[in-house]
Amino acid sequence: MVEKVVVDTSVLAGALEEGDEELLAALVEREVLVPYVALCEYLYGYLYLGRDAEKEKRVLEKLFTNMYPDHQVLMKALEIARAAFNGHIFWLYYSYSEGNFQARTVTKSEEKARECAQALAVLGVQTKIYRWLKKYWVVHLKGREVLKLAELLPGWRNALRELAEKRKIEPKGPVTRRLLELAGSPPLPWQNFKARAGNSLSAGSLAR
Amino acid sequence: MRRAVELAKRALAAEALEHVKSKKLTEEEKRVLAELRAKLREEGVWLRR
Repeated sequence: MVEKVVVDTSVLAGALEEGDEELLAALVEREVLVPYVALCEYLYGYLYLGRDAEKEKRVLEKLFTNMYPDHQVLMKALEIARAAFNGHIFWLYYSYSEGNFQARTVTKSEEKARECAQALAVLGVQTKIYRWLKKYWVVHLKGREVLKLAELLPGWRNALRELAEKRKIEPKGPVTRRLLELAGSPPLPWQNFKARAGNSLSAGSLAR
Repeated sequence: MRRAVELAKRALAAEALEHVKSKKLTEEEKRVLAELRAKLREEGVWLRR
């Protein structure tokens, strides 16, 4: 099965302006979806320079799948649940194949990904880092690790609740069940949060 | 069949590279594009607040 990826303008620029061969080779191996916003942002530059934007659009259409904003796409976009940690925005989702909640964020450098993973490790949260599309790094959290963060951060619980409600997720295992319980519960007392988070991180730096 | 798909993909990538070379964007144009997109992104972030 071909992997589907959604790209932003910087990926389009990397492949079609900088001529990054590695990136281009990685993209043609996948089904690449270009959001309408990224398409407009990319083509606007060509209009601004007085270059042939129509030709650029044709090349993009040949290589990738442009996602125009029909009603279905907008409804899907509304289902995306996001939560912040240490200045990084994590995308939360439910893996139907594994039956648990997962979260991931993308950084542009390995250093940033490691920094994020270290900050999470201070809280006892284990992450997996891997390279994506040759030039990005993903920090990935699985079920139990998402649970640890949800226990600490109210923002994560809210995002999980929204996700669970929209997708009507039924708990399958103990971790998912606990996560859904947490999602429906009020924020934990400050003392508990402070004890778990330790003294090295302040609340402000956690949920920025 | 798999080989044919692979070759088609390579041809597509080669065609795209050819297009990149034919564009001949100058350093100045690249700088303008980067600035423009950074500004658009900044405005996008501001609008989502």
